[in-house]
Amino acid sequence: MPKEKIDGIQLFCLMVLFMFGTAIFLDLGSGAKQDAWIVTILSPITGLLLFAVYYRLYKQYPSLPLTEYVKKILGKYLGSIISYLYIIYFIYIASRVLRDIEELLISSPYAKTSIITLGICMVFALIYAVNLGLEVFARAGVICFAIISVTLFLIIIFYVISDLIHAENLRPVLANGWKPIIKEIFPVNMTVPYGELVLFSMIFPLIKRETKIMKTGSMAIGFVGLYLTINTIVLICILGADLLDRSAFPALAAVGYIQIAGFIQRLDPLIILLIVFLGFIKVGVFFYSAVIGMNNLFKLKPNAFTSYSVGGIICLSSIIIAPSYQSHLDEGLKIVPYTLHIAFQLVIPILLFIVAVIRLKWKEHKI
Amino acid sequence: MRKHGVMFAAFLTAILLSGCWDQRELGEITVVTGMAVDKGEDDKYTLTVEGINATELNNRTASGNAPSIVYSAEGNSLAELTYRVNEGISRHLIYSHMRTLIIGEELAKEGIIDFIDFLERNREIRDDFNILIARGGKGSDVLKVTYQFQKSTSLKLHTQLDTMMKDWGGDPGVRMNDVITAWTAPGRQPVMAAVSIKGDPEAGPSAENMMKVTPDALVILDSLAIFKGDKLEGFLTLEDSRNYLWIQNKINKTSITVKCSESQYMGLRVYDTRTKIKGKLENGKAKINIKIRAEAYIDGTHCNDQFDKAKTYKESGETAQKQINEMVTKTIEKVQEEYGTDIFGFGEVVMRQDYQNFKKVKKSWDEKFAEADINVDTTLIIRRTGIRTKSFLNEVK
Repeated sequence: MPKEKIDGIQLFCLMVLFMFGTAIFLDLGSGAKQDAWIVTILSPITGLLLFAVYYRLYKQYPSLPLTEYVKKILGKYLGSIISYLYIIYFIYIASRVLRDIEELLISSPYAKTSIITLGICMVFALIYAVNLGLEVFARAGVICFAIISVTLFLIIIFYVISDLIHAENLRPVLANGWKPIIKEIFPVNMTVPYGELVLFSMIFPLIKRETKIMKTGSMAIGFVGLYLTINTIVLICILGADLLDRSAFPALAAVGYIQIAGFIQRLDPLIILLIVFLGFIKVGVFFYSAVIGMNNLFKLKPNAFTSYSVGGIICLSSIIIAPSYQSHLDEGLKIVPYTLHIAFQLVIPILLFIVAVIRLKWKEHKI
Repeated sequence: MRKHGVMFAAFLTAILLSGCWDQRELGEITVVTGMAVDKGEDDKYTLTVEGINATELNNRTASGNAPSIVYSAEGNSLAELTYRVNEGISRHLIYSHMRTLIIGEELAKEGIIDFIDFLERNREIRDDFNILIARGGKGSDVLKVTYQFQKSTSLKLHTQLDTMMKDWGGDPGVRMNDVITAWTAPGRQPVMAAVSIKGDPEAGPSAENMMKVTPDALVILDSLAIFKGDKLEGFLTLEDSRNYLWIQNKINKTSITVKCSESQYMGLRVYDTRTKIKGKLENGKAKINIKIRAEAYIDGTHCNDQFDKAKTYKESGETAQKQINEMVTKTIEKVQEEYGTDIFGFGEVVMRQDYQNFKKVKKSWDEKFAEADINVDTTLIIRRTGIRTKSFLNEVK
């Protein structure tokens, strides 16, 4: 195990950026039309429950990452298979997020650049970051957090100043009852971004002992939930539920309307910059977890070879996973949440938790 | 190893610092400021673009040549045509700074929904241009007319409509998203501003036209085009267009003329106005309450009222209120009776405030709109009277 240590503030920033990830720029809960904000305000609660499960598991094995304690809980063979699957899952999600960023970049500013070029540039930077280790990454996260939160705050102020907020777009509230909202929360909005916190089970052992992980984690989840809710309300007010549903990148569409005194306008590059930042952090954390998982599973010493190969796989598979943007989205919204996310974020951790508790009880009983 | 590293760094610098590979110098592009879409003769559309000649727009470099180039191409999809126009224009066209989109009347009557999708989808085109209808003519003719100050009509119209909207309110301030939302969301039909050519359209496309004090051809803001779905239904007057804006709570400032007695009028400059609409369905009949609140100052009067008394302020205010009520009601009634299409978005209001009842009439809302009870209630407060109190009119010998 590398002996890197990150502290509470770094963890908070990393978690917030990780959850913002791509969520902040996608049309969260838009299936619930003008009630999308109810979705974003409720889904953190489910996220918190999931996070509590991950945290409890970690408490049982405070010095081991997910891929290791699986083996302790389920035995060597079954455990190895599960942790192998987890590594593949991390790599797959990393390439999905990378694809999101590539698609955004290619559909607005880089129309004439080939998609693989963008991927390669991004992955080289990522390999560099991953080789330096998580501590460096976390420190960079704090700086990014400062930049990003200030920018997001400014953008909301700009929205208000340019008189774009039409609060009447929020009505009628609950026009079709609770059904569409529940449908949106479970599973899509529960799993992305909150369920993806399962990844932090890989990182918990690297956190300084004295950090109160549960407290920091809940604060991060609360913060993200609050911001996403404000963001969704603002987007509905600006674009209206229909356009929100139709836009590939609603934040980009909304920012395009900002116009203050004929001077502050055309801020789209700002949003794109933020997306690259956030995407970098998100892919980076997945990437890093896959690498340490792999090193542990195959009992390798930390080396550059693993990160280069995993980086290469992420870059290539980001392009291979889907032939077109729409099929990429379809997979992301209709297939992945129901199969992969539910399995890896919900079913396996809860099963692990139950088995672990039974084992513990059994052991006590024996003694 | 170190040596290799340095060489690799130098190599990367040479590649990465050389700039973007898809860069275009200003000399290689032409900026499109206006676009007109008309019904094609053989195919579905005729697309006309106006590419600006930048040197002519600068006072120092202008030499009196034509300020822009206008070229048309015909085809079935705008997406292809935007590139096909290069059959007549030499440089690569940049569409991101488009200012106006003009749609020919004939095409508008047949429906425009098909090509708007291209404009919304395209990554280069931003949703900040004016959408206009060329009344009684072709959009391409409007684009060709030159003008003294901004030189090209598309730039002129953009500035003109903004000015008009700020000072008086004849332009509905419609952007593409408003039109699309009107099509997709229940309870609203779209409107657009309409322009026409005053004078001889044949004389428009020449540099001489901008040299005259009274141009031979001038594009004027003509009226408000109203739609039913994506088909042009008819036109309302500019006055109606102002009232429309007033109902939409989109007016900044406007002027109204109040009649105080036979052939005597009073000009009021209205500012700080706010409109609130309440709507509900009662026994299947829509009830719409429009509350207008406005402040104003006297901008000129023929009336012999004594404006040094507070009472006169109040009385004049009440006269004005009554007139605004009548004016706005008349506009709504005209639309109800003649067109029966809910351009005011009353359906939207009812949907927001009375969703359960609205759900039942969603499909046939326009019929409900046509027979809705409209009640307009204005509160107008006259605050001041310019820099004079009494008028000299009373003291003329």
